[in-house]
Amino acid sequence: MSAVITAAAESAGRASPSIWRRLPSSPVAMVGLGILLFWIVLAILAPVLPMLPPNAQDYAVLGHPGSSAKHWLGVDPLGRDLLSRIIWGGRTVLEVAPIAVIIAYAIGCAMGLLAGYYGGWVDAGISRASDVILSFPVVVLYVILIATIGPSAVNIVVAVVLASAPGIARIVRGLVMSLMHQEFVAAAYLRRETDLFVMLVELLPNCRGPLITDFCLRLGYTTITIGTLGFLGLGLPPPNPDWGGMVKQATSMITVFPQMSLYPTIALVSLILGFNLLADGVTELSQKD
Amino acid sequence: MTRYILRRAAEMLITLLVASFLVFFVTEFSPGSVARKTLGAYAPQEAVDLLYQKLHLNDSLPVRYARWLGVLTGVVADPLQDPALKLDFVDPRGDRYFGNFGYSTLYKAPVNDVLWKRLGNTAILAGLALAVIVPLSLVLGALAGMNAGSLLDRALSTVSIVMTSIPEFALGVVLVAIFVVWLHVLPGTSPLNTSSGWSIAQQLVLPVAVLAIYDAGYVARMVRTSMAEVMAKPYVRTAVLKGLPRRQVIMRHALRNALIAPFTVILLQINWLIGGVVVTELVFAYPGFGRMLLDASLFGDVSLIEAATLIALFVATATQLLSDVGYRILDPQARR
Repeated sequence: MSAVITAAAESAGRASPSIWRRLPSSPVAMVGLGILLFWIVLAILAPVLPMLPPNAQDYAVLGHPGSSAKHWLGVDPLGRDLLSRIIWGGRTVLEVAPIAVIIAYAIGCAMGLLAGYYGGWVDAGISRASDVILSFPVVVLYVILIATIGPSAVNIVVAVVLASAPGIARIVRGLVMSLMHQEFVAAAYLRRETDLFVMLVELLPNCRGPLITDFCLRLGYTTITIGTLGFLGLGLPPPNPDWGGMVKQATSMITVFPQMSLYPTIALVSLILGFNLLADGVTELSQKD
Repeated sequence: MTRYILRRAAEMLITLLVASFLVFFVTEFSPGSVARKTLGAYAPQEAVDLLYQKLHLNDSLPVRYARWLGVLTGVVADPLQDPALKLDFVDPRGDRYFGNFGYSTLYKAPVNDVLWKRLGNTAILAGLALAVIVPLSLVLGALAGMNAGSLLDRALSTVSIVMTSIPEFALGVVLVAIFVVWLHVLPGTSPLNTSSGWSIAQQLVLPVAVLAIYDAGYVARMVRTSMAEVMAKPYVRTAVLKGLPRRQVIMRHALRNALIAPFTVILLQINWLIGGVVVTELVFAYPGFGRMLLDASLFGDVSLIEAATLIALFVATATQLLSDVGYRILDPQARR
């Protein structure tokens, strides 16, 4: 019996890292990873890079806010250095998005496993609760929530977790329900394994293929959310740099200085692209198994 | 199947009730703000206090929710329309009728006067977007998934990933920079009147493009993934090995099974579109439902938020029901 458990645990544990080890064979995934590393390194080095402070205003250059030796990417409508604000803004996104998605995953996986495994009233309760949240168009949910509880990093995490966990739960539930008909689950029952063992050792590792992809996609989507909230005026409170808010602020000058809106837009899109390319590469690799 | 649909419809009604209570709970948690927002920022405090009393805003949250539900179903008269309040809020339909969403404190008009016109405008926008998204993503996704790993697949996948990675507002800004600022061929705002000199059709191009480009990329990726998965299934290999022409393999075995998952995804896109229109309508100043909801939320116009959320939720849950029923028809395994 213990040998079976060890074998099951090993086979579950073995396949997972191999995807990461085979990552270099997927050019798509490597490009995605490269973009992510670029932003991660900039975010980590932000406090030590020889840059102008992100909130310092330089009124002298407002007449010619384009690129210069002092401001490589120019300045925003308030005369603040764009390069510095973009790098600091990236740091914020890279802190908030992963924290929010990881918390959402912990809650969503637990909900989905319970619902898919036990079925019946447990499933009905979790699914109905999820349905209520999932019925809301996501942006509507964010707008109502953040407009009421106020814009801040913590509230954005709360809103993202609330909006994402039910979606993760639904994916996990669906995967678990499709796996319940499989022979290895029947075998686990015959071995009289505990429910917790079946859920965590037999079912959850077998859900990992779609979940790894979904995790990367969700990081990208959360980045979109943070940007969109900033654009709607519901992002991080000013004056701290926030990509979506920077775009919003610069749209008033888009006919004169389009670069002010376009640079933060490019930064945001590149980061999302990084997450999505990585997700795509990982999907491709997991399908080759 | 009829029993299943009836059961789901009942669940839908409960979902709507629970969601409307949640929205009520979040937005009207501090009831004092309702009286203040109704009268405006410059009204004297005594008037606010008086309104607070007359509207019975000191009642508990469930009681106030029950009263709102009473107004909606026509059992209770809308308290804001009481002539004794001297607010001059008059709904030509009367103060007690079924479907009374109350009075919008933001627009100073009955919600039913504001809501439906906006919803119609958004339906045009979302309908046009879907008419572009569905055929485009099905064809592109199926072609890419059929030949997984081919040059075509690579190109289509890369394009669709890039499309999906551009948030609606960013795409809006980029398109405005190109077509409005640089080329001067399209208008930057879409107020749906011709006073700016641009035709309605020209005004619709950019908002529809923003919605369609973002969502088509997503749906195409789903179709592609599903198609690629089915093409790798043993029964497709069997069909190939037994000598069936490739065309037959795809039409009879692969496509039907590959479209089950995207069928759900496409119907759920309607839910995503409602969210997408909030952002798109803000970018292009489009007089639609999404922007109304954003304005109502920022203002704290509870009646309008509730009405808009209920409509959005109704559309979302109805499409969900449709997708589940369709899924059961398409996939016999799901019936068990």
